[in-house]
Amino acid sequence: MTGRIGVAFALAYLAAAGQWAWEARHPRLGPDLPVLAAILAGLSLPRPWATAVGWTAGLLHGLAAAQNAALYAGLGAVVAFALASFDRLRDEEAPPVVFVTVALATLAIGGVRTLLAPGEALGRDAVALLVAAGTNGLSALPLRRIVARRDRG
Amino acid sequence: MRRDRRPRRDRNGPTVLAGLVALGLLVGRAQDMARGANGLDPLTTTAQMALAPPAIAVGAAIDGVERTAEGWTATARIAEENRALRARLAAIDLYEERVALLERELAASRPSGRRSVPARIVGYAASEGRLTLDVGRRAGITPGMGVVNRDGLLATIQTVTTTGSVALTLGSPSLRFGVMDLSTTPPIVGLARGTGADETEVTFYSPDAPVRVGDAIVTSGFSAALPRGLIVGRVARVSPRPEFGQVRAIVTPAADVGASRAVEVVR
Repeated sequence: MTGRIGVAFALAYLAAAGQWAWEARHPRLGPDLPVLAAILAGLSLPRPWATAVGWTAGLLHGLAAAQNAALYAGLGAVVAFALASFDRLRDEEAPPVVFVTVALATLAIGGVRTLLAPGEALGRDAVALLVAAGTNGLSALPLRRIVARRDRG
Repeated sequence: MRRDRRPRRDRNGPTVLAGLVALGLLVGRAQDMARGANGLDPLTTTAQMALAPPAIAVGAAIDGVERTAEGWTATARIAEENRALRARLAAIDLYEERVALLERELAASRPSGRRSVPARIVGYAASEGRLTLDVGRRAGITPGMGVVNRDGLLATIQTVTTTGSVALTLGSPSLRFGVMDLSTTPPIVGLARGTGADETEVTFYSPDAPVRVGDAIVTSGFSAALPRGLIVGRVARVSPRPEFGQVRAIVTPAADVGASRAVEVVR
């Protein structure tokens, strides 16, 4: 468990760095790596640790990008906490729930971010946000399957 | 045998969430206060320093992938741009040659070591080819000096009073002055005189003078008053006179009297 927690924090650190590098080049379109790190933590760690990892990923991203660190950290923590709260998500027969949960979390994060700092092309941003939600949701599915199989041994 | 590794539901989860959210709010508050002072808080600075190494590596990887993808997809566009740029470069070379020629002609119209006196044309007798200027002996004007505008030589001073002067235009039959063909190498000299119309006839005293239509004609400077290099005009017609051992050329003056009010007298 200790190793798994360390790996999760390392992934949170790398996800924040990668997201910072990506947003420097494509500020309004692209993946949300800290969210993915929070998703992975929520699917594979006990709830307190998952929450901490999600919070760390969001906080580091918010600090590095000089954005609203409290918002990013809070949403990362909520995503990880929500996923870690659903025991049955670790069951392989619940992929639609995983997809919907992650997609909604991404929409929430992106929606709040857009509301706080609206860009000039809201329509294009909305499409980009939907694409990101779908991408993150689909990304969570193989992660969930990997975690579930590992848990089953 | 399947091992159930699902953790038991913890009671500390909500507490941890609440504590972390509250901590995040404190961090956000520190951020806002630092922004209010147009600066960054220490946590932001520390986070940026800590994340910089992997961010730089990821950024380099992103740039490499994007450049590779662009190379695959932009080949046709880049080839077209290259063709357009080569054509533009060829046009620039032609323009530069033209600019160099114009600069030489412009330099020839400004004799070095000479001062000029600004003047205005206050009278013009077209039938007689005479200009009246508002500067005279008091301004240092003497007979023989050249009257120029930005295009070239307009006339030469004929008579001078205290406050005014009269100049003969290039078309005046009374006017004689030395010129040379700047377009030949070496420049060949000739004698210009007015034809009575808006033209000047130049006589080159060599039957083999290589004068061509379009050649640039300037003053030769073989007079004390008229300096070398003042633009006279361009050759419009060439008439070889082998029986006289001469070549005569009709020159269209470069400077237009009708378009000039403000001129300069070259001292």
